[in-house]
Amino acid sequence: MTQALSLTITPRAQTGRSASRRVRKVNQIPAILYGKHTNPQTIAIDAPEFTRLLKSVAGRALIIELNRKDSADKALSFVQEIQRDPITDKFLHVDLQEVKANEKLEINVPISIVGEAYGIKTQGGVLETSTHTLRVRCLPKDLPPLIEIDVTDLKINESLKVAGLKAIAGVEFRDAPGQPVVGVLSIAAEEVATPAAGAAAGAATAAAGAAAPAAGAAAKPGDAKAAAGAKPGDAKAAAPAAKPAAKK
Amino acid sequence: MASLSPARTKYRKSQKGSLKGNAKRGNTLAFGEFGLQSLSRGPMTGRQIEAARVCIARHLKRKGKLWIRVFPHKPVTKKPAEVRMGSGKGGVEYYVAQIKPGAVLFELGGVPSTIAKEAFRLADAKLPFKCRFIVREGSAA
Repeated sequence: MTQALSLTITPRAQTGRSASRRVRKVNQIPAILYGKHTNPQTIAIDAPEFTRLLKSVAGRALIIELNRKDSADKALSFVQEIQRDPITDKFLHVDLQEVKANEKLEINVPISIVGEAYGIKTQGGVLETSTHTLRVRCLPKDLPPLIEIDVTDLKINESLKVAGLKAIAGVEFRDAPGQPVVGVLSIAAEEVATPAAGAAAGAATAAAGAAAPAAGAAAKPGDAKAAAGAKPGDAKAAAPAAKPAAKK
Repeated sequence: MASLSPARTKYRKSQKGSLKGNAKRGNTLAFGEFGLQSLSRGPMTGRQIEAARVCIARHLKRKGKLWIRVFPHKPVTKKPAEVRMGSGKGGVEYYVAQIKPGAVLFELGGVPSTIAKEAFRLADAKLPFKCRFIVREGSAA
């Protein structure tokens, strides 16, 4: 376990939408603290302090020391979930899970890619990360902040699965062994598909163009523009263009 | 330019509908490291999606992986020019994706942040609404 970060929490009596809004208005974040051995507790945390904490966490899985404002009790926890406004990015709610130092915990740990894959360097592939976090079970002291994955030997069309990851002492992977984590894809398939789709569309447009003059044979040159704009398979759109010309 | 459209639809034409509220789904990064998120609302045509895709693909120069998170499902009809009102609804002209604020339009992976940012800036110029560049939390970028 790396050096624990600290966060001050304040108990919160009221719950619900309006109470949470009042909490957010005074620059605090409504949160909840729960664990295996304690009852869930609604709390509030200081928004600037939490922002600073997240900056030092920098996406890693770390244990946070909680200091209660009303008592001298301390607790260990980790951030289970952060709810944000998708547009403003403001914090809406935070879930903290309490853990014991001598008890195993399950947590999502982000992965970190190390090295440049052989398939990218020499074979012109693209690295795709299928799993951004891995679920692990370990003691807080064994918790890795990041799981480093070496992709140097990865060739094109190869992928690294959970079962193929390097074992870490005291850490157990909880994801399915067959779950892919990273892979090197060939981009040739995508490149071939695009011109083929373009050619098919071109053929369809040509077919529509051939159908349009038949519909608007008596139409003025101005009407031809409307008829040519018709989509493939949309014969009805071409037909009305011919109507006004026929009336005259 | 090939425009995106559904292969088969249950109903040929649809009503206009309204476009209220923010995107509740598809508002976070699901696949890549970087994304282009809309900040305003409006219809995004199949041609606009394709134009933005081409723009991104050209800037990437066969590197990285692109995900398109939106699809034009909604048909838009139009009456031909110089046609009097009435006589029913016009023909289907094109298809649009209805975009609400917060929707992630494109995602990119396997490229450095600077390349992704520039690719999305170029793509944003092809789109009819304001967008922003987003990065996955904890990403090395």
